[in-house]
Amino acid sequence: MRKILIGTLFGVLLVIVLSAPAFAALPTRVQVNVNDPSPPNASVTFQFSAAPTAGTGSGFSLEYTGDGGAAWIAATPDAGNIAPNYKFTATMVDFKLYYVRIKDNLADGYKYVDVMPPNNHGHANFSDNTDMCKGCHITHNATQAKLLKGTDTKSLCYTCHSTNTTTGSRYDVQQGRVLLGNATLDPATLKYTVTTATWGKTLGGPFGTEATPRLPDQNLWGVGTTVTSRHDIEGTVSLIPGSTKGTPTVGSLNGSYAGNTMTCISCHNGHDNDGNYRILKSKVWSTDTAVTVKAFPKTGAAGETANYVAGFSVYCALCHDKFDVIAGSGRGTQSVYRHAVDVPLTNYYYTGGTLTTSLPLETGDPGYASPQVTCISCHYAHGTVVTGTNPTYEPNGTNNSTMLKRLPNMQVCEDCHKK
Amino acid sequence: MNIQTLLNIILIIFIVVAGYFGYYFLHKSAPDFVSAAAPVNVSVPPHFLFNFGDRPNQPGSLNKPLAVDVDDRGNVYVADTGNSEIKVFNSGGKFLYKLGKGGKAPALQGSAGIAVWQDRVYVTDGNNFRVLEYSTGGNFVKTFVDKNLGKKVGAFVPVGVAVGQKGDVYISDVFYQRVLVFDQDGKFKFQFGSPGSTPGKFQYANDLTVDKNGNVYVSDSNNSRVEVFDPKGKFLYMLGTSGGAKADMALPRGIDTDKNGRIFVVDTFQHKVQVFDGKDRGKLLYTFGEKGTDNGQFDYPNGMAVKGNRFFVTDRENNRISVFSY
Repeated sequence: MRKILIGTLFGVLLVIVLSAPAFAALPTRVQVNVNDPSPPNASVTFQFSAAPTAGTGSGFSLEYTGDGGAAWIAATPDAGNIAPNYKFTATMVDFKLYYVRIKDNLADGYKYVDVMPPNNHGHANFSDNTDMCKGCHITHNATQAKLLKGTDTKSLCYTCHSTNTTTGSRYDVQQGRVLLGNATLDPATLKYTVTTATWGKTLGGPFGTEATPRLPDQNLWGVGTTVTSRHDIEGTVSLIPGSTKGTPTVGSLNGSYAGNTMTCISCHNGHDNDGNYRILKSKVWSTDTAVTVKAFPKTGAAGETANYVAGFSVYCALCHDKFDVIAGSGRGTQSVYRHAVDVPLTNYYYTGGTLTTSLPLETGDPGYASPQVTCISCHYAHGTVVTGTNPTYEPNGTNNSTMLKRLPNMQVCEDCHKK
Repeated sequence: MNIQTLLNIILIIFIVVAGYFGYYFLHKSAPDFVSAAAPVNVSVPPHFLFNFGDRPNQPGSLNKPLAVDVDDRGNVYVADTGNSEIKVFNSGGKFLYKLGKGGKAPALQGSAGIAVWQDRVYVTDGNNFRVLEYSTGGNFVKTFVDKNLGKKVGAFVPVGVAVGQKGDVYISDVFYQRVLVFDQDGKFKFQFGSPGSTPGKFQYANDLTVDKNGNVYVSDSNNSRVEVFDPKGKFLYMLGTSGGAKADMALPRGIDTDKNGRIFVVDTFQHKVQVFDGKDRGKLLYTFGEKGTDNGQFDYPNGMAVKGNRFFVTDRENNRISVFSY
């Protein structure tokens, strides 16, 4: 009798467990397969396994955008879509950058993946193609920890992403350019053909050559051939401008590399595990609270542009925390006055009406009532070629720099505060 | 016979003699290594001979050289990529001239591929989406393939270039991940390959070469392998980590073959050259080179050319050409 009672109780509990609504579960990994990579278009399938929130109208939807999130196009699920395995197919134009979002229809939040046919994303979504591992790792003959190729992080990254070696990637971060394709539509067949390839500017700006930060005579930035300031990758960090964090040491940063050397993986995660824009890490320092950085870039005629959504100032402030002033330009708890970030364009210090700007603003998630100023409104993330230096705040107010600004001299001020 | 006639005869004889010796100098005085063949049964690597191009602030100084090839006189053509120039050296490494003499040549923007065939020099100018043709004398001849080809086959970014025995020109394209084949007049013939990692596909195909049988060897860089095709582009087999011949291949780029069918592959990430036996579907024979700055060492080597029993490697970060021989 006792065994019957225990068995019955166990059975009831099992039924309850199995019938209970599952927690919302967005897929952790999405397989992206470019099925037909030949011109003009590519057929791309997205596959994942996940348990959606139970309820009426349950399931997942998949949408994609090629215009920076202005319009999201719903993809039709494949006929073989049987929970928990889901599959969607979309037809995309080669060499156009797309962002895809997957939503549990009964829960908030999205899973984002990006894709640019006809090639696979070398840093993400490679679960469908484990051969991609070989791009950076080698099993028995590695020259770095974690079975990495190359002799340091930059040399590894630059073997595909520098000016002399763009034979391995579309992105040349050294010269600040990206390879694009211009597609034309055939009105008879309604098919696109990519007839010309072009170089366009990258969103982060150029790093330039190693020793003296220069650009080739032919470059897209036009202003000059010298990179006037940059985040100095593979440079020793002795003092971070606007930081209370001190000098990094081994173990203080979120990653396994020399503690006081800034390098590509100081900010980027080669595996895209954090799901952030441009494979940005969610933590720079080991003690950081994870940051979500969201933007939707899109291919444009002259390069890539982006709809910056959220998280940029917070991310920059993981190192430059003193500059993260979020109200007016008041001094707050600090001993100096600083320009605020994460504030809307209003009529601060401008009597001519509402401020306007050509500089990028953050749109918010959910959307702000008015777009807001963020660090990258005025600064590039990688480097700049503009001229016109000013004394820097640190270390002593006497070093002159262009500080990665987007416009020469102090034109970034005038771009909003038109005097 | 008056004095005038005598002088004319002497002049003609002088011209003939001078012409003969000039021809002999240009075409018959090639160094011995050009016609020499490496020993057939060799299981040891070649020995280091010398470097050139690494002395700074010289006319022949190199900056991030990526590609190299050698003509039948032993002259060495180097894609001096960081300077966006093609520099020509004699077989001893003495700088001779730059391609594009006379100022009429279009400006290069880097270059990752170079191939010499007879008196022609093909240079890929991928950043400008074209392939240029020069004479071995250094003059610009014509734009061999320009970006208008994209209207026919789609846009392309040429990287590697090689010439078959009959003059067909093979060009790797890292835009659509394929190989484009042209006749020697620049007329498009056919293409093979597409993006992917399954056999016959490419992820950023780099350098390529054609052996005496017409088979095409392509460094499929980002797939860490070399793929071998027949002259029509039919996939045959692979070398590398996932290839038919096991080799710990990381990032193959420069590639060439010798008269004995051996395949020389520059592994940029492992700073060495891997040598395979082409007769045995790519059995790994030996390697040479290691990371460093000393003689015989490499720092991100990239390009490879074999001429006779001499081997030329572009040593990118050491800004030099390293020469080896038996």
